[in-house]
Amino acid sequence: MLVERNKGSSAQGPRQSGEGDDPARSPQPDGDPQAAETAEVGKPAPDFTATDAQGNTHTLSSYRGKYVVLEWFNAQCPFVRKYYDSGAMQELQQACGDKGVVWLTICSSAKGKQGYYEGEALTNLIEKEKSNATSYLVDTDGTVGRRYAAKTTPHMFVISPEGLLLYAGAIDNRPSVRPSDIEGAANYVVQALDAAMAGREIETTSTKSYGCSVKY
Amino acid sequence: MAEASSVRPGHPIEVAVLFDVERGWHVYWRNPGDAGLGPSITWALPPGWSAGEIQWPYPERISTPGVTTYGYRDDFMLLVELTPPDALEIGATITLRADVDWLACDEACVAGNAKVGLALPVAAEVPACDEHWAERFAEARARLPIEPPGWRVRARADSDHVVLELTPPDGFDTALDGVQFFPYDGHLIDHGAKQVLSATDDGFRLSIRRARSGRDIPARVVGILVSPNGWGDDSSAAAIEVDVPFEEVPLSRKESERAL
Repeated sequence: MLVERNKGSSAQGPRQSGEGDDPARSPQPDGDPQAAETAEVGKPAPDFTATDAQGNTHTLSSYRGKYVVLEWFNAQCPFVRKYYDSGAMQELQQACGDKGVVWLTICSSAKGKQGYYEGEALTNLIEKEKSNATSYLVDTDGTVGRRYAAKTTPHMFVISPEGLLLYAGAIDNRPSVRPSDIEGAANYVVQALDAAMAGREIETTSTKSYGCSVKY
Repeated sequence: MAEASSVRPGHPIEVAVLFDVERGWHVYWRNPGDAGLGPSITWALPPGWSAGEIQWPYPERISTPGVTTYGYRDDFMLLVELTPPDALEIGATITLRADVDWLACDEACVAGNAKVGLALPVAAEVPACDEHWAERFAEARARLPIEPPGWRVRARADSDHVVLELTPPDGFDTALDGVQFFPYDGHLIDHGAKQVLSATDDGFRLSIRRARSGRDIPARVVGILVSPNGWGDDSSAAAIEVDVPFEEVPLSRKESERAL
């Protein structure tokens, strides 16, 4: 649509133009009425229930009392490979696990899209990746991803024991696919967890994530 | 490639990296939007040479469900100005090398790397234009943002919206269509949200939902405004560069609502 200038006093209502609204941005709330519908730092993290590779269900609110890290994942994404082929993600998962942090890896790839795995292929993948995450959750319909507005792989979220979203955004401050960039980078997940556990204020609570697009 | 067929001591030349984007794929702008990563060029130049910033052609908006990015689906060129030292041996050949990294995505994403190079003779006279490339350079320059030709841009924001007030130059008597703002800062606006263009008494207003980041409003808004039909002047440029402070005039309720 064209937008004409208003001329004189015969102003008509404003005509609007713009590209279509994103159809995927309206999450449907369910479950926990305490939880927010969308993810916003400082507010309750949206609750969700999702199924892991073994078919067990995991509900975020059942992890109250523990820190939770959400990691969006797509095995074929170069940014994910940067962190897995170098072993850095597995190390981070291990270090978090040692501190009692629950680490949920989430794949929101739709069926047939890149990064989608099921059944035995999924079990093999998790083994091959040597993942130290608490669980790998399959979010094929993208419900969890949309609720958190997860845009990239990786896209990281840190949730407090009280269920508040503490951090949302990139894994670190060096947007690249080069594993050599990991050493010396500021890891925002580590920073957020360290600060929160020490009772300090988290310096960076929100960044723009970088990575491949989530394959909804 | 270079536009000039030779190089003069102390005189900058413009070179370009051409991206031949395969059908169905895209490569990203400097701010890739929700996902992706723009290309980078790491120069390996002879002693005394320096390289300027990448000059980015304006991108297009690329939307997939839940994710909106900015990039190029067709061939594009990244222009860079290289400045040689004053002392260069006439008659010698210099070689300019660069390491180019990029991410290309269709449904999947693939990281690419190429080592590119260019050899040019050093000559004392004004270099001739390489006709083979002159046209391509001209096309590439037409896609670079220019200073607003008589347009005035003011910016305001609240926790939910960024509003750009666009005042045209005197005599502007055309309609605008499909105007889109592309910020350099990837964390300012909600990339997937509809950008709403409306008419005001003295121009136009573009209202854009802010990113849900919880961050303070930054001091300035920097980026480009793209109007596919141009800005009503003779330059035919589609993109103008915006670099203005956010003014501390609150948005009225009506303005906020209109931006929904």
